[in-house]
Amino acid sequence: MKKDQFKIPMPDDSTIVRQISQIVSQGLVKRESFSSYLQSMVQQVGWRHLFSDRLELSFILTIVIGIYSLFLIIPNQVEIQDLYAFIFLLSPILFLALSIYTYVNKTQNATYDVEMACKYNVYQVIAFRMLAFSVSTLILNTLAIAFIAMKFEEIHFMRAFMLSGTSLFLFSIILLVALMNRRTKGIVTVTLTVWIMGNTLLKSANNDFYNGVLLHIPVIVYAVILLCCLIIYMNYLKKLIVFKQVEGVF
Amino acid sequence: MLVVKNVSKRYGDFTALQQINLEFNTGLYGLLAPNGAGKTTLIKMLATLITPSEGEIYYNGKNIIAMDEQYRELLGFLPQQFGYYKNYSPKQYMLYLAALKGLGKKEALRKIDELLEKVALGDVVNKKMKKFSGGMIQRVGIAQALLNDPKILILDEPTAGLDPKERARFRHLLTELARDRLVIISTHIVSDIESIANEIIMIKNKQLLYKDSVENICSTLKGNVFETTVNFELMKAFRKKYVLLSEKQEYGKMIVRFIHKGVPEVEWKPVVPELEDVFLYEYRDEIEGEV
Ligand SMILES: Nc1ncnc2c1ncn2[C@@H]1O[C@H](COP(=O)(O)OP(=O)(O)OP(=O)(O)O)[C@@H](O)[C@H]1O
Ligand SMILES: [Mg+2]
Repeated sequence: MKKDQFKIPMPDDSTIVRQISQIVSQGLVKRESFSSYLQSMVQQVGWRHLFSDRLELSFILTIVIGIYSLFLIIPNQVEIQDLYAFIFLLSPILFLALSIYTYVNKTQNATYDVEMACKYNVYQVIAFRMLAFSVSTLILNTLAIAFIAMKFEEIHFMRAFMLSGTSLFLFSIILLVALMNRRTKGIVTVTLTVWIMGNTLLKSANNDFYNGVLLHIPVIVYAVILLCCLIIYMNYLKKLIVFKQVEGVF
Repeated sequence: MLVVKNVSKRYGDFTALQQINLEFNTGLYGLLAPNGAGKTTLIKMLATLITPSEGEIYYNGKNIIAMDEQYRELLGFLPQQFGYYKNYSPKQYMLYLAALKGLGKKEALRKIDELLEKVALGDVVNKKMKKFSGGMIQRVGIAQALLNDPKILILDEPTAGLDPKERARFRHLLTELARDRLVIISTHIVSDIESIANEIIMIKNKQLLYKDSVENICSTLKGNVFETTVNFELMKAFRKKYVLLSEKQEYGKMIVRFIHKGVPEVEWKPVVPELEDVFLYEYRDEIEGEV
């Protein structure tokens, strides 16, 4: 990558990791209660009941892994920027599928009223699950990216990883905001369409800019963006935990 | 204990409840009003499923919405439509709900057996709920509301679908429960609560009409309820003139129960007003409008 026109000194990977953990530990001080809250939730409710619809969830997981494995059969002569664009576009897909399924299933189910009156109500379970989903998506994405990086030498693992993480959490924030502000079921479709259309438009309309964003922004900038996204995301998750449907009677 | 202060609820432009003020203490409260009066709306606000458009609800001085899960830990709730998972047995479903309520598994198992026994479902604890009758499901609903031994028990039309024998058993259970906790039940069936409620709450025109003992509410019609016999031919005119509470045929004549405020006629037999009379009288416009 000789044409890197930004003259920002690149820190090495260990510096990045150290800085990330430093920022995370400082940023998460106030969230201590949030994590201990989640902990006591696992202790009291248990994984079994938190994921009571395991069968449906694993079905979704299988489908998405199927989609991921398409990456392994892509032809070897593929444009690098296209690969990055695909990673950016597809990274949130597992999270999206699992979260939307959970959200619709939990809030539209006839058991909504009963579960809402429990100590750990519907929104708290959804928030917990979304967190678990984003972690598992991140892990799965990382694996997928490792495979891609092995297959295509031009793909930088770190860049692809940051890109994928940023995409995942950026999208998660958009989805959370959408879910909390609109009560219509259509909002999910809208969010998804906006995400895909937005990416496609950016890619086709202003190819240089989009590619520049994907290919040439230094990894550290991505790291910072990723971190910001992560913090905003955690904040919204916390909000979802105390979330109340104001008009509620469905 | 539980205080409803200046609470109003609007759904968009539609006002369902307006400026409700109530105070609940230990005991049994019956929320009695016709269809669409706003019982479920009030109950859902008390259960924090929806928030008031105006006003607040306090438990021991603390806003119940701010109390959040602290409040829900004290709460037992049966919604009007009790949803369940078809493929679950009552035991599975209650184990799931017990977990969401933060109960330990051992404690939950003991409690579940005890409660299902109490609602006479002891022999079907492991049967899938899709094979249950409406009344059996309703009884699972009552049992799950008691899982966490709630200090506040709120039941929205719990007797819907129960046969007379189960109703009697349920009334007995409620009286026992209301000894040391707050129990609020909504219904439009007068006989469900008239003998057991410490106080009756009636809502009319989106506002609180009565919150009083059965005796006091009935005394509002004291000296105004009569029975008499009327010839068939005269019934039409009679219906126009008085508020009829009930009528039955006997030996070719009609025996009518009705309300008259003012000087009674000699052949009328004065009777002691009952809660049903007050209900029919107060909601006469709405009830006639429905027919
Ligand atoms: N989500 C909602 N949106 C708009 N209007 C609603 C909503 N829920 C209830 N209402 C209206 O509010 C009024 C009170 O409804 P509510 O369900 O509280 O009555 P209720 O006393 O429980 O009746 P029932 O005896 O039939 O259960 C009704 O006129 C109803 O149409
Ligand atoms: Mg109702």
